[in-house]
Amino acid sequence: MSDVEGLSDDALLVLFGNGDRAAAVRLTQRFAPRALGVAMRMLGNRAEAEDITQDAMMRLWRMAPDWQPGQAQVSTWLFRVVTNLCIDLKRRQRGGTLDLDAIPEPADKTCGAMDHLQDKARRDALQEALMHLPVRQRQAVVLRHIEELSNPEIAEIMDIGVEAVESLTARAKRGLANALASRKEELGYTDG
Amino acid sequence: MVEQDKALKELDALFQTARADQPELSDGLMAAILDDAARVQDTFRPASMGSAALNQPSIWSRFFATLGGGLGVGGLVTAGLAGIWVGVAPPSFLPDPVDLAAASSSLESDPFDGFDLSELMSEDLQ
Repeated sequence: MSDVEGLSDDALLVLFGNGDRAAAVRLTQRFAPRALGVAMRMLGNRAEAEDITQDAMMRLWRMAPDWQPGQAQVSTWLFRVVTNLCIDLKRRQRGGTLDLDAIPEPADKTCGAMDHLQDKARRDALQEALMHLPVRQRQAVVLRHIEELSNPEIAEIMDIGVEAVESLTARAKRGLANALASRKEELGYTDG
Repeated sequence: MVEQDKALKELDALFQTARADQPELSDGLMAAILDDAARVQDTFRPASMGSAALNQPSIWSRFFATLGGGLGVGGLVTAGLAGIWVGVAPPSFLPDPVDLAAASSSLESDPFDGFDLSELMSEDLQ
């Protein structure tokens, strides 16, 4: 395992294509949690996000023998697959109807005194607000501000221009700020 | 405007909280992904080994390649034929190899053949 620890993504994919099991483990550790994180932010549902992650990783395995090292980043390729699968799933669910079980309940105000509960309340509030954004805005803002990808990377993933990415992210942030404005006190943003 | 900036700053703090809370893979999902990986590897391993064997160059093609491929071998053959031709029918400005061979054979004969050493020495004494 340690033999593959420091290898590049490209090298790991080549090893995987040559039948190296350790490369599969390392690639899974490196990419699957990030894929799962993006899918959860996009879908707001862990079970669906796990299905999407497994599907995206399966596509990565199948694509490995044809991978051209140096032509693209594995992470960019994978995020593109994950977000497209999420969008397809939402379309199949008739225009992205909200999964009411997936959206967290508004935080209980009696728990606000404890930091970790407040953090959870903030994360849940953000996820709830994300789920009300149009799917492309959600995709852009998740990739930019949670996965911290660059605008050119997001442009490649979304197959749009960098300016369009900037516009989508700006609109998404305004939407999120408006959605969260009424919950400032609950989320502990009253001082200052 | 100030209110908007403040709201965006609070939003950035929310993003930071979210970044710190990346989900972990469950054991079940990890196992399922690795099972998929193993099954996919099993499907393309024999194919890739077969194609590797087919793509293995023969010893002659490797020798051919070492000489520089078709161009290199063609040059070698041409140079060899030209050498034989020069040997058989040399141009007029070059010595005839047959004469050279004869000359070299004459060098092998005794240069003092016909001289009697004792006779020469007796002449010196006189």
